[in-house]
Amino acid sequence: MTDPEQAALEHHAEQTRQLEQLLIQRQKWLGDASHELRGPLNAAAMSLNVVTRRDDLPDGVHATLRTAERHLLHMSDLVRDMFDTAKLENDAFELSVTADVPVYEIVEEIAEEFAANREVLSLRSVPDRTITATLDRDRMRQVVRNLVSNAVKYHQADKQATIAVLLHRIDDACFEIVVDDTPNGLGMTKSDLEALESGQPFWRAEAAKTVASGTGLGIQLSRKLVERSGGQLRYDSEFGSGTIATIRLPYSLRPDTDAI
Amino acid sequence: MFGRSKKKSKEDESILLIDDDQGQLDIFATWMIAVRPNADIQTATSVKQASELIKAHLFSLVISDYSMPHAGAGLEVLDAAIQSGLSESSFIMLSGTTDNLPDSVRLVSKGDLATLESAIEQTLT
Repeated sequence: MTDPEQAALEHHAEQTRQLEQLLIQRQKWLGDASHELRGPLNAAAMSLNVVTRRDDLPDGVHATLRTAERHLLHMSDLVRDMFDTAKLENDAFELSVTADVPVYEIVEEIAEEFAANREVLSLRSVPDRTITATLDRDRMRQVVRNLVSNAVKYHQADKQATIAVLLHRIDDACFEIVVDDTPNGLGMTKSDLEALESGQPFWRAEAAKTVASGTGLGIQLSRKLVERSGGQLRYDSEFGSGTIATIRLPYSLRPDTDAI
Repeated sequence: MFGRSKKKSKEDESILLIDDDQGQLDIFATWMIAVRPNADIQTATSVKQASELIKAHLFSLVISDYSMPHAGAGLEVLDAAIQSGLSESSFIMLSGTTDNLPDSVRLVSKGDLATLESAIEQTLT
C-alpha cells in the first residue's frame, strides 16, 4: 500500500470514529433531554394525583384536577414519543433484545392493566403461552400498550370498548399479536387507512379527534418499533365497527433481513 | 437472605425512594404517603446514600430512578440492594426512557402512576 493510500485509509477511519462518537452523543442527548423534560411534568401530575385522593374537595374540583393531571401525563407521553420518534428517524436507537421472552406475559400484563378501565366493557386475552421470542420486551410492551390504549379510547359513542388481545403461532418462523376492538370500536374509513399507511407523524383520523385527545405519534412509533424488530404492523378496519391491529413478528430477530 | 422477602403488614412496610432531583423526590415521597399512609418512607438522592441506607435497613420495597443523573445509575442501586439480600421482586425501576434495561428488572415508565401504584400493591401484598 502506498503512503497516500495509507493516509486515505487512516483519514477514513478517523472520520468513521468521529461519526460514531457524534451518534453516541446524539443518542445520549435525546435520552437526557427526554428525562429532563418529563421530570417536571411527572412531578406536577404526581402532585395533582395526591390532591385528587382527598375526599373533602368541593364539587367539581376533583374532576378539574383529574383533567389537569391527565393532560400533564399526556404531555409527558408526548415528549417520550417525540424523542423516541426522533431517535428512530436519526437511527440513534437501539433495541435491548433478549432471548426467550415469554410473549404471553406482555399480553397478559397489558390486558390486566386496562381491564378495569371504566371505558372497557370486556377485555379478553387469549395468549398461546408456549410462544417465546427474541425481542425487546419493554419496547414490545410499549407497542401492545399503545394498541390496547387506542382500542380503549376509540369506541363508538354510548358504547363501551370490547377488546380481544390474541397471541398465536403462525408457523415455525413467526407469530402474531392481535388487538381487536370490533364490534364496538370507532374504526377507520378507507381514506383514513390510506393516510395512516402514508406514515405521517401527527396524522389522526377526523372521527378520532372528536372522541379523545392524542398526538398521532404513538401509532407511527409503534409501527417503526415493530419494523425495527423485524416484523410488520397491519391494520384492518371498518368505520363504525372497529379495528383489528395485527403485529406479526419473527421468533428471533434476523440481522440479515429488514422485515418478515 | 432468609426473612428478607417475607410479606409484611402495612404497618411494617418500609419503602426507599431514590431520585437525584430533591424537588421531585419530595413530591414522590408525598405521593407515596398518600398511597401507603402507614408505611415508613425514606428517601435518598444518590447511589451512595441509597446504598448506605440499604445496607443499614431492611426495606420492603425500593423504587429507584434509572438516570441519576447518568443513565444506568439505578442499576447500581439495584446491585447494592441485591448484595444486601433484597429480592429483585422488591425493586422497581422508574425510567422516562427505557433503552437497555435488563429484562429481570421490573420497569415502570416514569409518570405512569396507575401502573406504579399497581406494581407497588403487587409487591407489598
